[in-house]
Amino acid sequence: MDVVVLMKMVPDAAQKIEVDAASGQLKASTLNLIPFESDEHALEEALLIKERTGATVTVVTTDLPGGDVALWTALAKGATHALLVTRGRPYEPRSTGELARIYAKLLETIPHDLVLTGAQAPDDVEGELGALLAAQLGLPYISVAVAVRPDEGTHSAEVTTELGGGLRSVYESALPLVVGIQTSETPPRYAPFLQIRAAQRSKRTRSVAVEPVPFDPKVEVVALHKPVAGKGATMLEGSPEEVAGRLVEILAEKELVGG
Amino acid sequence: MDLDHVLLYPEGKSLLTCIQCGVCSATCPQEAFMEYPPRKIVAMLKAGLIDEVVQSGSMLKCVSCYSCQAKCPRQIRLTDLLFPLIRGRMFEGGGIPAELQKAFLDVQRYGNPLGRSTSERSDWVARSKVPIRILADRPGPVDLLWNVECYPSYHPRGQAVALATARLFHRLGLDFAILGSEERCIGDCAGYFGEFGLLDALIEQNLTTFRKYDFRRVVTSGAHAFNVFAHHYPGYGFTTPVEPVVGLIGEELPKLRPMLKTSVPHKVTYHDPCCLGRCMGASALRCYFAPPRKLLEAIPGLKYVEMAHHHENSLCCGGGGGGMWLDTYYRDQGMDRLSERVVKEAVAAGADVLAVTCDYEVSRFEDAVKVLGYDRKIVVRDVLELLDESAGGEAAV
Ligand code: SF4
Ligand code: SF4
Repeated sequence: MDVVVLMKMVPDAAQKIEVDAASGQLKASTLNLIPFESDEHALEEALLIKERTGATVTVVTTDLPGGDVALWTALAKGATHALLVTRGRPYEPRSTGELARIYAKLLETIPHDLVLTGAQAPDDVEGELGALLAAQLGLPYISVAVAVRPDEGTHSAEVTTELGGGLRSVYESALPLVVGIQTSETPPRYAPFLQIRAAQRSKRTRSVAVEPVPFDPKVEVVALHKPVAGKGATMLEGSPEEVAGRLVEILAEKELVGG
Repeated sequence: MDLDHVLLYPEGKSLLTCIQCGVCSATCPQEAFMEYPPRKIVAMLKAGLIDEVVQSGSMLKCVSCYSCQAKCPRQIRLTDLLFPLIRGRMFEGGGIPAELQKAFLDVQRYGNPLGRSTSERSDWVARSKVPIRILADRPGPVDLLWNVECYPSYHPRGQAVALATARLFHRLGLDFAILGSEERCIGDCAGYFGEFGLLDALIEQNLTTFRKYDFRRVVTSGAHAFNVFAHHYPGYGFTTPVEPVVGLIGEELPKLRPMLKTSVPHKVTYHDPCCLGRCMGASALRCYFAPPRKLLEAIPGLKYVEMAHHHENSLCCGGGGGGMWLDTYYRDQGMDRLSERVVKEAVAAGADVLAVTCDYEVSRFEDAVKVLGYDRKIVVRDVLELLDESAGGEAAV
């Protein structure tokens, strides 16, 4: 069983991110790239599959700053192989379609029964990456998954997805299969620092150059800006009793509670 | 040293001298919740039952309070050596609650367990009425390097203490500077939870930063960083003298006393943090029991009262050894919060102010006050905030 995890490096929202007024792009000097949370969950799900079935887990990311650290960390957590896709390009938040083509090309050369990636990313809010990739590869695609249970014998997988409102659905699909992971069954594990360092020294990450793929983006980023604070909020002042009384009045006015 | 080979090292060999007296378990504030309390753990390790100890999770409940180590008649290094080794093993098999893992990841990424941006570390300085020199902006020799630490840098209540500290330094005419956005966690939770690789990386990084500047002494805000400075940094060749702020201000009391003019008419009790008291005693270093009490008693109008547990018997706030990030886990396990026990004791002693000197404690005890519904009975203040208030506060600088 070969599981491939595609990890995306995204700007760390905990750091102050600035928009460059001239270019209308994120200021590269303010960006600290880290693997996106859903991708960390995809890796965790893959590691759980490895623990249960002895699968091989190959982690892939692109050569953006921090990509190497993400791969060392994945190896420290237990991934089998780590691949850094070099394409020699700076961070571009609009290239999901291109990325899907690059990964499709890469996957022609590596074995894969299951391809896991985050269901969404800050630069891919529609969750296109997995869908586009599956289309390129001619594979089935299931997204917003919260559990993936492959079965080597029947060469299929049972995938549980979140439907909202507490509902879940369970799919069964033939392999190979592309899955967008929402959350893993258990929270992503922590990689102790010594093991990350050991993975770094082991030189187990491999670089693979992927030929540039012709890609004509249909979407253009027109402007980037910080969220503008709305003016809608009314602050209620006074004693807790007064505030509570006023709150009840407002809720009744809006017919949200009985008057 | 690792757990499998602990008995090969002189510090580990001391385990063999355990007489199974049970003093460690009897004094442990978390004993009731541990499957294997300290005495049993020592016996099990001697018997080679390492995996059973690791898997039991008992050590997740240890808050590194040093009670057991300080009282062990054989002076076995339970808190600062053996228990971190056991917890370090837990990283291999999982079982570390997600909230604590996040704190470690945040320390790895940002050098603070609050997950905040390094660039925001000195944002609080802008609110200071007194000048605070940041070494990167104004290098050059300075007497005191003030290690502000994570909670005073980022937590709103911690920042209030940092601002009060800066005012006191200013009034005393001390020559001080901070590292600002270059400052990183000193390594407390990493060291006491057994994330030794992270501790090592933090120390190396901090020493590299320290080497860039010319200072004579270090003063550090709270108890935990001081403990790590005292116990781990000398091993890396760092020999610059380090004092906790409360120790330094204690030495300056003759100069400060005439400035303490405003009456602070409260009944105040003081919580001895493990890492300035018992912990230092257990290592034959200087304990800081007296300075905070002397400082409080110098404040006009203040009446000092003692809690039932004090000095080497003080109750831990429950924040050490990773406990700061395990409150949800402890609640799920049906455990009492130690911080609530301390607040109850403070109220029982008749105090209306609980004074602290540990950077974790203002927020921990304030949470406990709210949970207990004691908002109208008691407030939590840092000793430095009370001194600053008596010296006239922000209006008087
Ligand atoms: S206090 Fe010391 S000697 Fe006594 S049981 Fe505990 S470890 Fe052993
Ligand atoms: S350090 Fe404190 S909490 Fe930990 S085992 Fe010893 S007495 Fe118990």
